[in-house]
Amino acid sequence: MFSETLALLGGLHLTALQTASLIPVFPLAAAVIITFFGSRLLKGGSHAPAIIGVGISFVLAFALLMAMQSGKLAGSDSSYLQTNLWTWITAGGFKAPIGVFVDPLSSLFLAFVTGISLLIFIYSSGYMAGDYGYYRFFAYLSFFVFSMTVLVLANNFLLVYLGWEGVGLASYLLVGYYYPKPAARDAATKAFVVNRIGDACFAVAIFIIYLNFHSLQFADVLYAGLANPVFIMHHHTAIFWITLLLMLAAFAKSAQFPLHVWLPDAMEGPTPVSALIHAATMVTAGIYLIARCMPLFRLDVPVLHLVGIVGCFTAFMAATIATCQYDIKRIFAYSTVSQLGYMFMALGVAAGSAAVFHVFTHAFFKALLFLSAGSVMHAMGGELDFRKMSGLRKRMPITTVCILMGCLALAGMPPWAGFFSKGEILDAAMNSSWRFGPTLAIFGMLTALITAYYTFRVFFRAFMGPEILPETAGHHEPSPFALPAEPGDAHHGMDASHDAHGHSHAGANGVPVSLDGSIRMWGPLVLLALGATLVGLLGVFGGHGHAGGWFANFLSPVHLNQQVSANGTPQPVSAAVRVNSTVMMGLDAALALGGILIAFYFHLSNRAAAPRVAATMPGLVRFLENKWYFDELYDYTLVRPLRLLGHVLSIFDRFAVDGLVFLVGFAPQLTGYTIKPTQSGRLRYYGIGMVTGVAVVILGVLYLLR
Amino acid sequence: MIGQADDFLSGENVMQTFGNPMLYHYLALGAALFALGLVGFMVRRNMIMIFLSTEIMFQGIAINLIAFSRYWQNSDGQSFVIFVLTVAAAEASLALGLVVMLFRRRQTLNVDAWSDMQG
Amino acid sequence: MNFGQKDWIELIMNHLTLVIMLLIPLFGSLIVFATPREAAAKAAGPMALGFTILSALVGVTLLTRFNYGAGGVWQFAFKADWIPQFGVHFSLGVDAIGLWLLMLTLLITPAAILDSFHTIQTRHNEFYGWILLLFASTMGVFMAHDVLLFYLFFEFTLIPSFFMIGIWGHSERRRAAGKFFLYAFTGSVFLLASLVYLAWVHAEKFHSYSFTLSGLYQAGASLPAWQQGLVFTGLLIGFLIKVPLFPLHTWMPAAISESSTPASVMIAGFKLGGYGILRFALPLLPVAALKFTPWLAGLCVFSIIFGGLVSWVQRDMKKLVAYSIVSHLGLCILAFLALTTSGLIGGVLVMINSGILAAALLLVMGMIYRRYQTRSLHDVSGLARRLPALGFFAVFFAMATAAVPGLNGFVSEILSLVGTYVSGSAGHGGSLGPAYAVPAVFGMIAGALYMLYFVAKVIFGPLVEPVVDPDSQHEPHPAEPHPPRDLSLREWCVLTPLAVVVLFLGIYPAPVTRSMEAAMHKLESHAIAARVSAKIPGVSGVAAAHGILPLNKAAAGLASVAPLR
Repeated sequence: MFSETLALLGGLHLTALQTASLIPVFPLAAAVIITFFGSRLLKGGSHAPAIIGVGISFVLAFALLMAMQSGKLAGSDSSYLQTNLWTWITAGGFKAPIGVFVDPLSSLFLAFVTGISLLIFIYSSGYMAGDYGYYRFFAYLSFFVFSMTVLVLANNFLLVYLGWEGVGLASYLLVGYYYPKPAARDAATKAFVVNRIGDACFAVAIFIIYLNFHSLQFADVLYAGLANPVFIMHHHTAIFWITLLLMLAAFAKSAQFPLHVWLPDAMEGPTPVSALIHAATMVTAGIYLIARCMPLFRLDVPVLHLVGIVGCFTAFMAATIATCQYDIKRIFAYSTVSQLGYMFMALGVAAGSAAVFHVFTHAFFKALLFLSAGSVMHAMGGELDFRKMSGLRKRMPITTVCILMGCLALAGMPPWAGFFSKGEILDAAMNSSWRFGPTLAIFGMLTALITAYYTFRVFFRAFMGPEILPETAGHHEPSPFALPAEPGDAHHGMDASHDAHGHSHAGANGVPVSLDGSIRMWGPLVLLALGATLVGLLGVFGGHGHAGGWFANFLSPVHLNQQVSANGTPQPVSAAVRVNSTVMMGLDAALALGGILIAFYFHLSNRAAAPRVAATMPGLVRFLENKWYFDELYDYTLVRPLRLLGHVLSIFDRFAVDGLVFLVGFAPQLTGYTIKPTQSGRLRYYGIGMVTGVAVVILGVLYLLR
Repeated sequence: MIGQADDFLSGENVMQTFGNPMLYHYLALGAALFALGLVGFMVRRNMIMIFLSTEIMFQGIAINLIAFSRYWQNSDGQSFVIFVLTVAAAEASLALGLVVMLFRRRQTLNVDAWSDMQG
Repeated sequence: MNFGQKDWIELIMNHLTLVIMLLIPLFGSLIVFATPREAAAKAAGPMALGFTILSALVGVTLLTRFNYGAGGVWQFAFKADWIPQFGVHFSLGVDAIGLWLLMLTLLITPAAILDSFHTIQTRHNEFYGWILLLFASTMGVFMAHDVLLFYLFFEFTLIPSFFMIGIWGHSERRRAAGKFFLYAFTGSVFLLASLVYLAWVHAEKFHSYSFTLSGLYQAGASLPAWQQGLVFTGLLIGFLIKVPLFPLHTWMPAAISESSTPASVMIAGFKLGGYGILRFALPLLPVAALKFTPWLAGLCVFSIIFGGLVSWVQRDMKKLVAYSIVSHLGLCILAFLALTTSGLIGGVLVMINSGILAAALLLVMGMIYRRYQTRSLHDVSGLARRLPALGFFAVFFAMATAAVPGLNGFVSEILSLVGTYVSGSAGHGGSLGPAYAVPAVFGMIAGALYMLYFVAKVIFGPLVEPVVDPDSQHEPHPAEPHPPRDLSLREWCVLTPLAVVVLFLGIYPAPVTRSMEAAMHKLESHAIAARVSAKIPGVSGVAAAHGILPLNKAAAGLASVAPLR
């Protein structure tokens, strides 16, 4: 099997591992090329290397996926392929190579990460056209995809950590892309620091893994190491800490309570970045990590259950916050937090393939929603508050249809993708062998209702109803990069072509008739809309007898769906079917429809009713509008005290430590001051002193010689 | 002691009363001179007086040396005194010159006028 | 004996390389000092750069000729009698540890000199003379195989540093220079006393004075525990001041912030204190080191957290870097104390990486200062918009300092922390463990805090540029255009090599770590042997597993020199 080759592009034959190793190379090469040649040579064409790079990666990843799917790689005794390319770090037994690890899970992640990224790249080339620092944007994007592919392909924990921090760095740079805007700058810093907290937990987890397994390789730790029941028995505490810390790391990266605060702020970056972060390259890393470490997690059921509980809580919390926000992107950002909660909930009930399936479908519809929101933002001149707009469907027909597909998928209407993946999670929770599984499922269903409501709140408000456009519509946002007036500054001229294009089809009141943007923008939208509509079917059909369809069948070698009972034997998740799957599906569909209908009533048919209802519970609304006051809580309990401590230590340093040093230096001086009066300069005192001294010496000598 | 000193001054009587002066007599004289000079050095403010006091201390020591020289029948002490006297003379000329210069600077012989070295 | 041409080449290549490296800057400094002032204004800088690069080129050949397989052995040894009555030799050599610190010196000094072309506008000949002397003496520290020679070089670095801080710099420079000198000198007194005492002990016990490393190792090992403690304390005071570790660090922020850019770069970049701890304090007195470890490690952990938090609230960019050094070197010493192979290697890498990164950040800040005449974090903002290349380098080095993997800071940090974490557990030396490693991980979070704070304040944010009043400058500077231009060619040349090394050490540190493995493993075994001999319980099995030699033999092995052919 190791010699099995993939035929690519006709003549090119590569082994699966070679193919996998090449996948991160192209985005990295693109990033390097753009960094070095972007500002002078490529300029407006900087998207070309990025798109080509990620395109090649996608082709390779897809070929890998197909090879894996067609069973060409099957027949091996192990469920994965892995190899070390070169040694990265080595010191006294601590070894971390650069190497790749290929199994169905990683090949699946690679395929959709590169695929969605490719679409987002293409979209970005339209969306960001003419922006100052265009090349910088694509360099960062390419680096982002590179880091994510490294994360997914890594064959050891430290290399995962490299990708883990790499996506953190890329998101920092991209969220802070509009760095002259203080909001963007602060959001970027916040994202990095919150992620750093998770990273620190990850690092400690790595130490514990090294200490107990003497290796960081997945093959050694997750497979060989855990094959020995005696070993597991002896290292139970270590496994508890490893899983707990990995869980915290995943919570930071995937924006789960209590470390979710960075993700909604991260929408300060350009919209394609939000799409990338939310759909493909960043937040899914946490799910990946836990799914990858499922062999560890299922040995520590309490931690796994904690994952589920926190996921469920986050899903509910974020959904409630989303109902009271007005910024379209912010609502979608909270919906991501909420949907990620679902995924963790699925992991918590050991339904790993359902979690990964939801990651997969979510990638499509969330990318779609964000990119559509980007189109709206682009058309409305940077405005995204849906209180200032309405009835956009006439001006943006393609976008409207696409976003409708996305909303239906997010709301979980059959047969859109979200319905199947979410349904699978709720089904798994309901039928979990864990006795609190059904409780989680019920909360999950409540959340599903809220989700459908807030999703369609956006859709009905912004796209349906009478047409209202904000004043900025059809214009460009003033560039945050504008300098105080300088003659001959190139970027002033850049936007001109765009404006001309927009205004040439101007309708009444100077706003263009069609605001859908160029094909580079709506093309990816249409493809994603197709995906959001159809990929759910992968979870139903093609399963070759497997209940979870093609998807679960494909992932079955990874054993994501097993728990280990007390005696150490694997057992399937659902011990007893409590509620029939068909009934669950019906319930899910009814809840989604219910949410949509509520939204329809309050936000389309009777818009005046919504504020009346809100007025009856002002406290709750304010609580939700302020996002449960998490930012304030952290500000007052963590950020400010720490900074205060810093100041206190600084003052302590200046006065106490340095003061002590000053005192030491001052001691000789002080002695001098003390005995200074004896040096009066009067001759006779010196004489007296001398005589006294001589007398004392003589008397002393006499006394000693007595 | 003062009465005895008066007797001492009357020549012949001394010899008859005390016999030949013993070593300790000379030593007492030297010590007295030295103490006198020391007290003078310490209490006087006039630079010339201070200088004279130091000279008296010298003489006290010189008497000591001569007395011991005589006692041990050894001329080392006497020759040493010659040196001391010579050096004292040289030093006297130097010191008086300095005193004159100092007087010219401050128009006073008070030694306390020169306490610039105070800490 | 027939001494042909081939033998001469052999001699020069194998035994005189280090001497040549030392002599080039020493003679260079004489020439530069002797240059008349008027001529020096133009010529001193290029001359100094030339001498440095010449020395560096000779040094770089070491990299190709070094026998990495025997990284624990002193190579390129040169030995001559100096004061034979007291067993003092002029004896040079490098092992893997010294080699990499030497390379650090060779990397930073040309950058500092190149940067001073812009910065130094007065008394050129003196400045470049001092900088060459500092360069030579620092190299000497890393080469010296004789302890008294080491002390001489170690001490001598003070003199050029003192003048470089005190003459060229900002308004408080004299005070800072005085503080620096008094601190360092006080430490040196204790250091000298301890070293001389050890030599005397050697004379008492073995009937001959010795200042060789191996001799003192034996002397140290033969001392009773309480005397070891005293001597160790003396060594510690001397070295920890130079490191610097809390609470002996306050000279560092003053010296770095008040001195000119090149001087601060060299002070921040040369890691003498950590080297001293690793080379002398720990192996000379292993038992005392083990006894002191809990307290000292606690101090290190505090230093890490303290440095990080204080750095985060600074208003002065250069002070921010200075406190970040306190934080990083706390980690370095902690990793040394862990006495595990990975920790020791990690600690050396912390020294190297912190040296490179602190130097690079200070250079970037110097470039900002040159343009805007300010070091305050609150006066400038959004420079990425005006100076994109400078912004790139600033973010790059800041990220490396914040230990983003793929850049060098991460490698050292993770190895140090791993080494600390596994220290004391089965199969590893040392006596630390999670209780020290986990709080130290806070250093990683703090690193992100203060470095991102710097980036957010100065590089990102709305563009704010103070207008420079040419009359208010402390030092005369050539007029900078307004608005300032992005990096000049010379500044590119200063920063690019550093950036390349940062990247290289981040992606492929394996050659460096591997070369130190043998030396560090020996040290770890030595520490375990010390634990056995000090009858600290629970390690005999470990010692057996490591094939531990009796302490004295281990000590002798530590200082082995390649045989002189």
